[in-house]
Amino acid sequence: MDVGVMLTTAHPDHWTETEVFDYTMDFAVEADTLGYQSAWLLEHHFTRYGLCPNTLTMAGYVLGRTKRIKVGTAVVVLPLDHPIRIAEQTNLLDQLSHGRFVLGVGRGYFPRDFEAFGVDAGKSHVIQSEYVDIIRQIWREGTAKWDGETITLPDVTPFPTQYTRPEPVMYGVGQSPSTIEWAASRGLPLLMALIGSMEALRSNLDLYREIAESHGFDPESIPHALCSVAHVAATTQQARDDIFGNMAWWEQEHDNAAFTMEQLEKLPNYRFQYGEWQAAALRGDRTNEDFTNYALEHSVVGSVEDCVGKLERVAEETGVRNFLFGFEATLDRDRVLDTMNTFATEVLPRLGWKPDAEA
Amino acid sequence: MRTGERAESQVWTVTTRNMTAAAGNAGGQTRPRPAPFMVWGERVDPDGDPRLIESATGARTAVPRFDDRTAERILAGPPADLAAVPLQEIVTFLNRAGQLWKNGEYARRRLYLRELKRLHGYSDKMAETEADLISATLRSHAQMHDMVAVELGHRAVLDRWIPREDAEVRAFPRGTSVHVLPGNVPYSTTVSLLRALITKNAAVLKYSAGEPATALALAQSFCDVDPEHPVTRSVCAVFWERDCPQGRRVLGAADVICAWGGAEAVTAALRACSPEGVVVPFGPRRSMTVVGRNADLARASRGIAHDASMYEQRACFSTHQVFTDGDPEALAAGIERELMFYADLLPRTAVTADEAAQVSLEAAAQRFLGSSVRGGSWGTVIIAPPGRVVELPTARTVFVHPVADLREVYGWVDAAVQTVGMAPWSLVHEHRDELARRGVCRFVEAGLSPLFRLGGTHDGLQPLVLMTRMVAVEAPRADYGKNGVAPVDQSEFLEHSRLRDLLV
Repeated sequence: MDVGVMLTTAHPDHWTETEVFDYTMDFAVEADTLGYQSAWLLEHHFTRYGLCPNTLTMAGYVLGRTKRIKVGTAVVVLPLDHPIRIAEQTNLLDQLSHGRFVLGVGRGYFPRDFEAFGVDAGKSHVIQSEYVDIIRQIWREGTAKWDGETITLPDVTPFPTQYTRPEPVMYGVGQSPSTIEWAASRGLPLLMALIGSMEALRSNLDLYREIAESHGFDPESIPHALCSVAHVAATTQQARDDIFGNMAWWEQEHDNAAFTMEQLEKLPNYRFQYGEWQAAALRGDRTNEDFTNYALEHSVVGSVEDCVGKLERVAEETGVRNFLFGFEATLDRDRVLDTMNTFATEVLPRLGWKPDAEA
Repeated sequence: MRTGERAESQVWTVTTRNMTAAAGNAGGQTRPRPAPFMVWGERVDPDGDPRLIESATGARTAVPRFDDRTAERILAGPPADLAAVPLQEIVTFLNRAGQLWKNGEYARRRLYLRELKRLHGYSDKMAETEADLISATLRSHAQMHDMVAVELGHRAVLDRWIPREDAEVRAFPRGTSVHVLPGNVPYSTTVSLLRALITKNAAVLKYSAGEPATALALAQSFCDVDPEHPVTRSVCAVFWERDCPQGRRVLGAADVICAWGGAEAVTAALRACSPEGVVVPFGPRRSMTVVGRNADLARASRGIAHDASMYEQRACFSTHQVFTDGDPEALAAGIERELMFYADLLPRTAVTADEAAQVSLEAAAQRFLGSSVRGGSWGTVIIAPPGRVVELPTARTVFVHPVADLREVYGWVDAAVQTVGMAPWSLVHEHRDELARRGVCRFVEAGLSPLFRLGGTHDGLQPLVLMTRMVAVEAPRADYGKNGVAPVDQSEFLEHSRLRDLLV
């Protein structure tokens, strides 16, 4: 079992921007010390939902400040960037860290990102698919030569080449069936949110399994990971009460920046997200607080016993053994560090998790 | 080469190609796909000793063995009391599931499409159509209320007491319904389950070896909506072999059994059902079309092609025989043209070896007997007198029967006929009484046979009536009723017989 921490760089009113990054580095270093296997950075623009606009740059800093832990991007928003630059920087970090860097990619969900960077959101899935294929081609064949629907590239050889051989693991982030099928057809592991029913989650993994198998991949060997907010307190109610307000704020920041229903309605390639909105409305969610409650019900938030029970059940029912936790929901530096410690010492060992040997 | 020879070789070519495609999708070459049971909303995965079941195309599925433990869990009853849930809440829940199914970006729908292709050899279009049907059915909230109103008299009759003359009536669910499902028409599962749920019955879906997909997908999609909802917790999707003693126990404990499929399934249900239980039999049935000499041939032909193409004639409502007092050659040519059109519009499902053999044998027999046989990758059309039919094959095989007078059709109808399509529609007024008297259950305009309209019946039954108990609270003494002008007192009436004459 591998466990990583999500470094959100969320910016609440009571922290300065500098504090956001200072504390984030504290969390990263603490994760390294406690033996967590990985730390993951989120790319966002124009929102206090997350202040990190360049996960690759920040990953370089985190890698430099840590000794052992793997550092991943969750995500690089591929359509906003250039595939050769991503491949170059990934390889650079892979070389500098001796394989400690992990590239995770996504296609974006915030309309102002597409607007500001001049990218057609309606083609985000095609762009992502092509860029991923280009990066992997660079890893496999050394050339960026490409003639595709969204980009044409000359026959150039980016340097440095990758440290990890034959090629680094690349994660795809998302859980729409189209993304799952796309990732499965390439054998890319998925980072998925732990939300919704177990049966729904299993259906995602079943779909992945079927497609991956039909493309010659062994689905059992693919290290999918599930992401969740994580917090522990004396009782489950206390744990929820501790973070409810902050979670509602964070959700609101997300909703302020994300596609609206009206925008999603016009984007066939975001049909899944439209369906999620619709399901929430039919479920009875009317306010941000309603959705926050729903999200918390599915998160690893509760007493030690409840968190252990929940994770046991998820692991048993899905077979997924990798988890990425967002411990920051108290938005209090010391309490976040405490939560990381409690999970590392009281929750995770009961699930068979072991800190990395050098920790 | 004669037309008939070409036809047969083309049929075989198609058969071989389709079977190869089916085997590629599933068949015996790939390992069986594991599938769970769903027991009152909870998953039971197959263990190391699964039961292998096989569809008509040879696709195998590994399911759990139906053992004592599973039977006991079912017999213990659902953990939720669906009878206590208002109908609008049930309908709303089904609508939520239907909205999921409507979205092409729903993983369960994607898996279901793959399963239909694997199990049945469906084309992409046919599989999509089937999933769309599930979505449309689950979202048809107004129609669900209307079905209750039409069959049970009032749309709130499952929720409260409804005044009816000198009584109040309320419909109660029978309890647990067991659905012995067919392997030929996946949509039957949706219909059967829907009827159970809108009458607040718990539902045990006993799927067929050839069609585990729909029952499981529906039960699991309910979990996707809300794993703890009373609807979710009132549904099971399981499989047992015909002679399985645990399965017989479940059937014996059922309050109502909906038995779909062949005579054997219905007979087995009747045998297993307890004296208090009710069996609702669906099938086996066959269907036909009547085309008058004044019919618009183009429209009639298209309608017949549609009714013969949906479900590849595996359904009870699929037309096989077309009686006409018009020009049989012109009609046959029209049907051929439209079946070709349908080969593109609704690409053919993989034909099983049995089906292919049946078509070829019947075509050969008919040719030998002097019938006109035309066929190809699109299907087969045979012009023959009705008495010459040996078998009614599937795989888009249509007989055209010339008759001098449409009243001759009466002689070819019995209680096994479900649907009669009419073209032109005006024929129905002339013939429906006699055809109905001889056993026909349902009349539709040609081309509408799969569309069961609100208010219609199913195999001559009103299923919701059979799935409920109608309880009455009759008016008390002080309520005179329309026949009385004084309090109703039976003892007084007996004691003073003259009162009856004076007051009633």
